[in-house]
Order: sequence, then structure tokens, then C-alpha cells
Amino acid sequence: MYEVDDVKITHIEACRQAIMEEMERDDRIIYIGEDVCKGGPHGFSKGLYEKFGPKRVIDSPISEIGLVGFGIGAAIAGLKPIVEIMYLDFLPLAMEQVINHMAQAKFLSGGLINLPVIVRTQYSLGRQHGPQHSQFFPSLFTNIPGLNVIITSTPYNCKGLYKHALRQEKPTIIIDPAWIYYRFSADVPSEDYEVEFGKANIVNEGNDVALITFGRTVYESIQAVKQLQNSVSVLLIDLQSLRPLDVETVVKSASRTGRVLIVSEEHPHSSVAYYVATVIYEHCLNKLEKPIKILTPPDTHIPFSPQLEKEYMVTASKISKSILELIKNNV
Amino acid sequence: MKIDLNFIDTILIGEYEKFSLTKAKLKEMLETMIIIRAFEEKVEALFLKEGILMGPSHLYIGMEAIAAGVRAFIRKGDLIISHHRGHGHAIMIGTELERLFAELLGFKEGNMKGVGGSMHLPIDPERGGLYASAIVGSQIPIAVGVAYAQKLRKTGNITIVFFGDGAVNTGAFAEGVVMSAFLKVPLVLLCENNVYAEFTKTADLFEDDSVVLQRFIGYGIPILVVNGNDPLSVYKGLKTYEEELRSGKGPIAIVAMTYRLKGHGVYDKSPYKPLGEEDLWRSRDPIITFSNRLINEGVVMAGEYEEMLKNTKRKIDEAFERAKRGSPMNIEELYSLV
Ligand SMILES: Cc1ncc(C[n+]2csc(CCOP(=O)(O)OP(=O)(O)O)c2C)c(N)n1
Ligand SMILES: [Mg+2]
Repeated sequence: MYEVDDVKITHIEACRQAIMEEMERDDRIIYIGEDVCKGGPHGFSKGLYEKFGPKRVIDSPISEIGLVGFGIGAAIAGLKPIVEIMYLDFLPLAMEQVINHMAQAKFLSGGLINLPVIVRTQYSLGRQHGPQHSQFFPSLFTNIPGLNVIITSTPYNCKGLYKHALRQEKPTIIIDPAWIYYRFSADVPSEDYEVEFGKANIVNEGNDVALITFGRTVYESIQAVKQLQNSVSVLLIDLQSLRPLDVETVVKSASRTGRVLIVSEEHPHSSVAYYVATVIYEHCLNKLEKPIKILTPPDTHIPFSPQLEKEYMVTASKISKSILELIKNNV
Repeated sequence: MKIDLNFIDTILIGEYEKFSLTKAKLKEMLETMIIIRAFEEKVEALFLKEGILMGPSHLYIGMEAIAAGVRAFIRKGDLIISHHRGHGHAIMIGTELERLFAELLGFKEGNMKGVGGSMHLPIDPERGGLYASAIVGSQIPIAVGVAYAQKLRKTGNITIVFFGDGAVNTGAFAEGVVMSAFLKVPLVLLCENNVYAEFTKTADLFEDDSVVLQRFIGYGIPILVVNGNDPLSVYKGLKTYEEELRSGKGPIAIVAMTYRLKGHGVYDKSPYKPLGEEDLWRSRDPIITFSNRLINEGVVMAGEYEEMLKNTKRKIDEAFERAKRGSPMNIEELYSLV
């Protein structure tokens, strides 16, 4: 599928490559966040400061409202800022900036204002970071018109998604699952490529069950598909772009298999997972052979306890079990 | 508006009586510091050497004098609000070591049933630990509400809210201090200035050594700068304003100058620290400094000090061994907590 000189790199390295390459290509891009000059706690921005210097790579005070507001302003004035929020849990501090300004400036200005600001962050579920450093709540953002909401999941897509983010003009929130940063290595093409927003990725072709997911659970789903490869043919869809949502691929997949499993590590209530299910019911209820199955963690906060957190999370074996339940009584 | 800013030094031996400091109280200060240090060293070893503990854990090593000074000051009914670097505060209010270890292990025997973990460790309402936030700065406005409740009850009790030098740059800090001044609550805004916010020196960010102090100016509240490596300086700072605080005249700010002798979290080897900086601060180690002083003053005998170290280490090890026998709660129980 890829060139011969493709190299295996980690998820985090692929993200970093995308940002490095784009910053080299486009000098309007600046990168700001807490501790980013020293690479940050995950090493995400390692090397950026050394390469692009203090004008374009900026360590900020712990001022999240300030950070997001700054990014919006810089974008309005023609720069392409990447604002790093260290943990997704901290982005709600700047929610007012996101909802009223980042999402609305273009709208309220009658289209006069363009703001290609990127707010990038990660969620640390699975890393024993406790209730306030592990959360994953993309639906807080997907509810708002005017924002792109992007979730990376593989070294290939993260590189392409970050590149696309930096080549388009809409305000964008990108969330990485930090759990896979150093766990997921894969080949990434050496030539330039983008992964477009609004397009889901078909990770695996199949006919029995459509497994629709995004984020960390893409990794778990790949393992589950492998576990079942001799018994069930799974069509694995990674949404990648939660807003805009690739309704076409979702509906086509559901129609093709008639059985749908949606897997997500969100809090289930009012989640993207339940929204996607609604979209399917709305468009192709008559094609479904069974009610849609939705697999999420329990509807609680995330416990610190490493053992409990493991039980809380969605694992490959839970996914396999759900798939098997869906195809039981197959006619 | 005048700026009410004072630097508080230590308490001299001749002033002990004036500050109601008995031998027992001085010894208790030293003991508090020793327990915190031994606890944190055990935690560090369990993370790094044995891999038994997991997740981020922000150690209090080097900052023990602040907790010791506060402990000597607070009385029954006083409340504390803490943050991500709170192990020392948990020990300060007296939560059993065994329950603290159980919490760090994620066991139901922990003081928060293993649900909260390291970054919320000093939550123990019975002992005055009312809340701890893992989001930097967010505990400050929350503490204002807590202190307001005390004000209404007119018990003469106060709240102490802990936060770091990095927190003074948050919006929550600014609005929290505004609310505290506006409502004249009995609150001590205790900034533990340990030089670093994660990997960055707060002063370096602004190229200004006084930046943390500057943040407290403009709210019309008294500001005290204390030596955060000397429990007596911390205690004296609090005592200086006790009357005003307990009689409901309004909040005060204390900036305790100290140093984080370890990394931001256990995993962090702090490669960004300038050469020699840690050594300099090791030479000001609060426990060594204070124990030497108490030995010189004859408050504690040298042998007694050695005994304290040994006994504490044993106590800590035993507490951990007991905690290890616990187990996590049933996941179904989480529903009852939301
Ligand atoms: C709002 C928010 N932003 C960022 C973080 C990540 N973070 C955790 S601790 C910390 C540094 C805090 O420094 P300081 O206030 O000085 O406290 P210290 O850790 O030194 O005790 C940061 C940036 C956070 N927890 N909350
Ligand atoms: Mg600090």
C-alpha cells in the first residue's frame, strides 16, 4: 500500500512530523502552550523550539482562557496559531472563548472574519491520571456549529489530519488519545499527504457487522477484529472527523451489514455515539436487522484506581463480546 | 489604596512564649516534616523502584515546613482546600497514613475509596480537608465559598487555600481573589512558591523575580512573604494576622518562598534545572535546618532526632504493608457516586 522507504513511527512522532513540516512550509504557523518549549509533559512538541525559535514557539503561563483567546485573535489577524491545551480536561476553562468567539466569529461577522485557529489537546484515559485528567467529552464541542472536531487514532491519520488542519481555514479542535502516543507505531508514507475532514476511514472491509468508532478505541477495535477474523467479517470504520461527520460512509456501512456496533469511550449520555446511532436510524432504519448496539464505559466519571480504570475502559475483549452478541442468531 | 506588604522572618528563641510555642509544639513541627518526607520518599520508591504505584504523583519534598507551620496554627474547625501537590497537606491534617497509601494504591480502604487518588489526597472532611482540585487554580474561588460559610457561622474559624506559583496566572486565581476581598471572607490565600510550574520557572516566563508577589497587588488585601523553608516563619506569618482573620476582617495572602527538591511528578527527572540549583536548596533543606536549630536550642536531643527518623520510617513501612492488603471497590459502586 505504501512506498518501500516508508518508516514505522509512533503516533506522537507522526503528529510532530506533520506540525514540523507544515511550520517549515508556512511561516504564519505559530505554536503556543504550557511548557511547549521543553516538549511538554508528553514530549509532543519536542524539537519545535530548537527549530523555529522563540517567535514561533512560545511557552505560556497557566492561562487557558488567555491561550485560546490569543489564538483566536492571532488567527483573525492572519496568523495560523496552534494552541496546545495540555489536557482536554482544561479546555472547558476556555469554553466561552470556544463557543462564543472561535465558533461564531465567522458567522457574526457575516463571513468577514476567517479564523484558522487550531486548538490541539489530548485525553489521558488509561494512564491512571484520575478523574480530572482523563476525560473524553468531544460532544461538548460537536454540539457547536462552526467548529471542526477531529480525533486522531493512528500514526497515518494523525499526520494527515494535522496537515489538513493547517491547510484549511476553519477553527478546529484536534484531540489525540495520549494512551496510544507511544503504543501505536505504523508505517507512514514519506511523501506529502493529507487526510481530509468529513471523511471516515475504512480500517477493515467486512460484511457481517459495521463497527463504528473513533479515538483510542480504534486501537482496541483493530485487536478485536483480529481476534475474530476467522469467525466474523467486521467492517471497521474510524470516524476521525466527528464534525463534519461522514454521514454517507456511516449510512452506507450500516445499510451494508444491517448490524451496527458503535464503540466509544465517551460518557454515553448525549454523546457522539448516541448521535451517530440516531443518524443511522434516521437514514436507514429499514436496513437494520437488529437494534444498534452501543458500547461505552459506565455513565460515571473516571476513577483513579488503576484496576477500576481498566474495568471502566472499553477493551478489545469487550468489543469482541459485543460483536458476537450482535451476530448471535444470525439467519 | 496603600499596599500592605510585609516580609516575615523566623521566630527567635526569646519569642517562643509570645507566640505560644512550647517544646512539644516545636517538636511536633519537626515531626510533621519528618513524616511527610518519609511518606514521600516511600511513595517515590514505590513508583520508581518497585513500580507499585501508578499515575502522576506530585511530591512535597522540600516544602514540608509550610505544612508544619500551618499545622501548628490551625485549630479545630479550620478548613483547608488543596491542589494536585497535596500529599503533605493530607498528612498535615492527620489522615491515617494507611488510608493515604490505600488511596494511592486505588483501594476502597483509601480515604476516597481509591477513586480520587494522588491529586485529591487531602480530602478528609472530618479532619478539615474539604476539597482538592487537580485543575490548577480552580480551588481558589471554591475556597472563598467555604470561607464564606464559616463567616456566616461566626465560629472564628478560617480556611486556608493552597496553590502554587503557577496558579497565580490563572483566571480562577484573579476572580477568586476578587471574590475573597469583596466578601471579606476569613481566608488565607497560601501560595507555595516553589519556583517551578511543571518544567518552567514562573519568574523566567516574565523575566521578573517578583512576578508571583506582583499578582497579589491590586486587591487591597494584606500580603505577607514568608520563608517557606522555615516552619516558624510560616507560623509567625499566620499568627501576625490571626486576630484580623478570625474576627472576619477579610482575607490575607501569604507567599511562602520554597523550592521543589524533586521533579514536577515522580516520573520527571528535571533536566531543565540549572546545575547546582538543587544543591543550593538542599543546603537549605527545611528538615535539616530546623532539626539542627532545635538540637542547638536543646529542644530536641540529637539521639532523639535519630530515633524520630527511624521510628517514622518504620511507621511508614508498616502503614504501607497494611494498606497493601486492601482491594479496589466494585465498579458498580461508582454509580452511587455520581
Ligand atoms: C488549568 C490547568 N492547566 C494546566 C495544568 C497542568 N499542570 C498541572 S500542575 C501544573 C504546574 C502548576 O505549578 P504550580 O502552580 O507552581 O504548582 P506546583 O506544581 O509547583 O506545586 C500544570 C501546568 C492543570 N492541572 N490545570
Ligand atoms: Mg510551583
